[in-house]
Amino acid sequence: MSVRIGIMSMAHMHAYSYAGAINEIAEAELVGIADHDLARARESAAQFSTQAFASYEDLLKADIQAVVIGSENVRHRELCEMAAAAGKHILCEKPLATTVADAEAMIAACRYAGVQLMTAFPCRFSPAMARLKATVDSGQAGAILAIRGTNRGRCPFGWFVQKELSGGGAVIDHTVHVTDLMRWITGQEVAEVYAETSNRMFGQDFEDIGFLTMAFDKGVFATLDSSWSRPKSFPTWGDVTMNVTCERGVLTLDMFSQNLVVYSDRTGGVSWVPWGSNIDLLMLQSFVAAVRDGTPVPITGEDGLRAVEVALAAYRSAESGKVVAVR
Amino acid sequence: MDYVNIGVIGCGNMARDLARRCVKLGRCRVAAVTDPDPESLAAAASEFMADTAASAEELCNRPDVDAVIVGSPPGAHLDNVLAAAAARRPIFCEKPLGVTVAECDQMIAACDEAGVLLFVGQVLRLFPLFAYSRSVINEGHIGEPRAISVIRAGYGQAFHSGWRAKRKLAGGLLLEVNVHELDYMRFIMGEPVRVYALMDNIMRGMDYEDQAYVLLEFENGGTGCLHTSMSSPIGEYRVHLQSTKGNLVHGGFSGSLRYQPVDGQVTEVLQADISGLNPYDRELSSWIEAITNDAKPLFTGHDGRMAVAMAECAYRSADEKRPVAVSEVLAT
Repeated sequence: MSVRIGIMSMAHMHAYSYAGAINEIAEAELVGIADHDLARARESAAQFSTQAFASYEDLLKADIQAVVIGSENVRHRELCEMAAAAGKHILCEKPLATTVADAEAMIAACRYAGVQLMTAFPCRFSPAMARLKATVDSGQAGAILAIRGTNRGRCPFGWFVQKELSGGGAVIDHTVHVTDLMRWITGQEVAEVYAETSNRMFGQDFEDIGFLTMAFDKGVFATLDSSWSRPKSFPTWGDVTMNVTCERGVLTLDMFSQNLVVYSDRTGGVSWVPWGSNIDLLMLQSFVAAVRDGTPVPITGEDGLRAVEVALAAYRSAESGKVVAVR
Repeated sequence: MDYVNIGVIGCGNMARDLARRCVKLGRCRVAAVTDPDPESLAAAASEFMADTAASAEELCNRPDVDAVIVGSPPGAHLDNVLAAAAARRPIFCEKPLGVTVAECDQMIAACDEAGVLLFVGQVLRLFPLFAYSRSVINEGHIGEPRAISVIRAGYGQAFHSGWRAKRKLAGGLLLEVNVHELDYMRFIMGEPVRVYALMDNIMRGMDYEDQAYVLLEFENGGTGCLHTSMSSPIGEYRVHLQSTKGNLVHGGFSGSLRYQPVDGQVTEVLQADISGLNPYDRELSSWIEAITNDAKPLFTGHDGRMAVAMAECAYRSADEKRPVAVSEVLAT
């Protein structure tokens, strides 16, 4: 029997990728889309050959087992609590929430309802990342000493730069991905953060540059560039890279380097077109399998919360100019 | 069917509350009510603007009754459930399903034969901290559950007088109250295999035990201990769950839940911070969904029967002063 899924809000561009992924999975069915923007629900439903629902309530009353939440960040909690109360398993776009209280409430609501909450961290599904993790786990390079990571991108603008909808700028948007990868490969939690931010790329009232230095609880330290610092003319949206220094070697990762370089007079420039693995599809496949088999989702709400805590600590540090404890 | 027209058998506070919730959920109308007590009957009839029926049989056979809530005292569940099964009406039966396993078997067989749903209100597992605890285990944070202790102590005036003070109607403390805790322990630990119990009637407010210690062994090799009292003015509720990789404690109906893996930090959640459907609304929604859409019910007659079996083992153990295998009471 196929896993029947609904999408709550297409506000985030990743929701479009997730909808496409659901349609590619034989044992999953995209039952419908609801959105507070009704026109967007109708248009995206047409695009993905499914139906639009007039409200989130109507979607949750439909015969579905799970939802994907793709709303603006601040709406995650409300939609998550609605879906949990309706008994639906949830895949929620990152960042899980914009406050610790919201994230904790989401986790609690899901545990109370007995539904699973997965945080959408697709980078864990990158085959290159999996190889890096397997190499670390094999011990051949020895223990991890330090990590340098980047997750730089073009500024997405729109609601992403409206703090009342996004919870912040580049830091909350981009810190969480690589923080999650670092937690995953080290098995350690971030204990302290020092961060500096600025708005000098665009000069508006959101931070477009963020640099974090993180001390983990069992000795690893790391830096992370989580800026929206790629210009509009950059040939792709951005990057995810890691340089992992171990006792007996260094591992480097460039997650999106599987691409063709396309020179097009029609688009007027150079673009890097990915040909590698579709990590969104791999992530959706794992979510569908967990819902179908009743097995634990591989990336939990708590994983989402831990990453949000680091981003929020970065804001506190940037504000105070001091090293801050994450929890 | 657009609306489920329900009949209510037994119109005490609990049954009226269940019916009220069904109506509030927007899916049900109360068509008819019945109760041997004229006052309860009149109150229910006027609240729900429902017809009254002279008996469970009459109520169940009314053409405008689609489904039945059995909220009578436990000692009357058997007759009422059999009446509903004979009329082929899906049933919501308050816990305990019956006062003996033999009664439960009769009810389950009648419902199976009639092809109707028998839903038992083992609602405790749906209360916030109880449901949350199951999810923590499911997520693997503290490993496999191996030992569970539940303390439930209080002093309920309702148990020291009226029908709840009489074994014939209430079944006993382990049935009328702790069938919830026994079901919760089974929900966490899996199937029970053996029970040993010591009981006392300290204050003599009821004609059955007001105090019991129940020790349980489970199929997974784990153990359980229930300490219950209905003669404790200072009330207490406490669950302590020991697992292979950590432990979990919670305060039952209030307070907080904490868990900690041996190699990790403690996580605490306050009941007040947990949002979601009211547990009674959730069980009734599940019942209604199962009736109208063939959805899988949250719990069935089988769950009700197993909880009664655990209580029956405890009573036999206390009587015969020996551990009693669950298979002994299930075989009868």
